Amino acid sequence: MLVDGLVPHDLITKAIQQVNDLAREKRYGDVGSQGVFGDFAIGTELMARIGLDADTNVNTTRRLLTLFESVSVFNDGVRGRLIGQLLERYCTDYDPRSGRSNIDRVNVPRFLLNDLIRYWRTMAVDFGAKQWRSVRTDWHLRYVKLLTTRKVLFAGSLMTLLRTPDASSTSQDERFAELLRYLRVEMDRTPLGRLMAAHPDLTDPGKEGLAAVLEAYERLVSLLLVTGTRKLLSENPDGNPSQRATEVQKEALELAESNSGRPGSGLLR
Amino acid sequence: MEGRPELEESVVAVAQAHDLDLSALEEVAKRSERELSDFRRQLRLDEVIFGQIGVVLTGSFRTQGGHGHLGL
Repeated sequence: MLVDGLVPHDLITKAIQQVNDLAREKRYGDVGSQGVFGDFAIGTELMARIGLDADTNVNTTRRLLTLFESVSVFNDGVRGRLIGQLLERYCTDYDPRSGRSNIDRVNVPRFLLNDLIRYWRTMAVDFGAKQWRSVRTDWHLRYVKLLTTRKVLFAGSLMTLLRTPDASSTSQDERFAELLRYLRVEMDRTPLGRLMAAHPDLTDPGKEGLAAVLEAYERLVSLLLVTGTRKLLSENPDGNPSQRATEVQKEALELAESNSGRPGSGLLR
Repeated sequence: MEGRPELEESVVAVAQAHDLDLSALEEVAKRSERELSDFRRQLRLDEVIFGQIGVVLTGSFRTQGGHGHLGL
């Protein structure tokens, strides 16, 4: 839940309660044990605390997910304003109002690129940390998600930034505005859509690699659509899982890792 | 629009270029669209009273319900 400005505390608690009640009613399940989801975030905190010690793991996660994969279900304007402010903050190096005498020509918004890469590395490292500390037995499911949905989030967002078009205007103000417009539109697309948008720009091996990713993703989603698959994936592979669970875990892992042995396979490794 | 497949044009274009069947992804897209539509309808927050509060879902959250694969 995003809070825009100073809001009375009772409204915050009422809103959180209603959202979480509805999520429970709809059986969305646990929102995680790290305190990232199912709670409120202050827009200014997300925008102003990028980097340094105050940018906690929770703050980074909320900021990057709001930017790259969120969808609004109440008060679209709050999300829209926050995303606009986040992008301005990330792109301040290219803002003529920043006071810099030598404004960079925009090829890739590097501040945002570095934060995205940092977030991906954080996800991968945190997976290892959770696996070490957790007594839960669902590491198979989490690993499959890391290799698929999380990796597509990263790769699709990376593609958006690497494909930043050359601004056509000679005006610094207009170039900055073009950059913000491009990124703003991209933030409303899905990570998978942003990733596949690179297809026309790639050579044949790259195209084949992208198709292999999409095919493996489709097959994995097909497997997950079968009732009970998630439960089977959550059975402890290091314990004594059922034969069916072992089969499903093996198949899911093979699909999740399958892009590593295909043409153009370097794409998502 | 409820029930409308929400696969992006870029995804469909890759599938067509490589002759891929995306029926599972289309199914998840339809479910996601229905789920989002229901959530918006059922969340009874007054937009005037709660005007400075926005609610967003992320793929990670909705993956719990089986609908997060597209990051919709």
